[in-house]
Amino acid sequence: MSVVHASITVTGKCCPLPLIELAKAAKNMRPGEILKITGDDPIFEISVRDYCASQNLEIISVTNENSSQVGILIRC
Amino acid sequence: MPENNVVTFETSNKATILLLSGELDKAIVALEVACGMAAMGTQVNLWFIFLGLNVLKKPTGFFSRKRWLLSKNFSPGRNPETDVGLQAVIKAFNHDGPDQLPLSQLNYFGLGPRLLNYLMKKKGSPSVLKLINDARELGVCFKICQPCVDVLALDVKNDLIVDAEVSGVSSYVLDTRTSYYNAVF
Repeated sequence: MSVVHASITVTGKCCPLPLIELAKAAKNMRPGEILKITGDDPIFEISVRDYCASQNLEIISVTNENSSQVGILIRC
Repeated sequence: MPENNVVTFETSNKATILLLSGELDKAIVALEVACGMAAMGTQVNLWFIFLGLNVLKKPTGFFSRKRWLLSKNFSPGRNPETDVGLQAVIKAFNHDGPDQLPLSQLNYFGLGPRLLNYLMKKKGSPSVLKLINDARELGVCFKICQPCVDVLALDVKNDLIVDAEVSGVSSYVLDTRTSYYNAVF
C-alpha cells in the first residue's frame, strides 16, 4: 500500500471544479509524492486521466469506493 | 519575425479568450474554458470587452449614488476631457455584477437566470463568481479594453472585483498571434 501524502475530496462538485481543485492540489505537491482524489462526478475519472496525461503524472490506482464514489491515487 | 521566434500550434502554450457578451450562459462557458485550460497548464489571457465587462463589475443597488453618478476617480484608461453626462445613463441602466447577468434566451425578465443558477447550484456546478476567483487563483490574466473603460466610464481600481490590465487592440493581436486557442464568446 502506497503512502498517501495528501488527499482531496471533490464529492458533490461537477465539471470543471474537480479539475480545478486537482490542479491547485497538484501545484503544492513535490515530485514523487502521492495525491489521493475522491469524487463522484459522472466524468470525474475522465477529467483526472486527461489532467494526468497533460501533466505527465502517473495514475497508480483507481478504486470504486461505493456505487458512485471513485478514489484515484496519483504520483506527482 | 525571425524564424526561431515563430510560435506554432505545437510550441505555443497560450490561449486567448475574448468575452464580448454580457450574458450569463456565455460568461459561464468562457470562464469554464479559461479555468479548465489554466488547470491543464495553459497560460490563459481572458479579455473583456463592452458588455462582457459587466461580468467583472462590483454589484451596485439600483438606487445607489454609485450607479447614477459618474466616478470622478480617473483611473487608467479614462479620458476626462471627453466625458459627457450621457455616460451616466448607460451606466445606470447597464447590468453589473455576476448575479445580475441575463440569459441570451429564455430570460423571462430575470426569471431564467435565477432558475439556471438554482439548477447549477443543485448539481454542484460553480457560479460565475466562484469561477472568477478560481481563474484568478490559477493565474488567468484578466485584460480589459481601454476604449470600453472610457466609453462606459468605468473606474478600474474601484468598480471591478478583480485586478485587470487595461490594454488595447495591439496587445490583443499579439496575444492571439502567440496562442494556439482563440475564442470569442
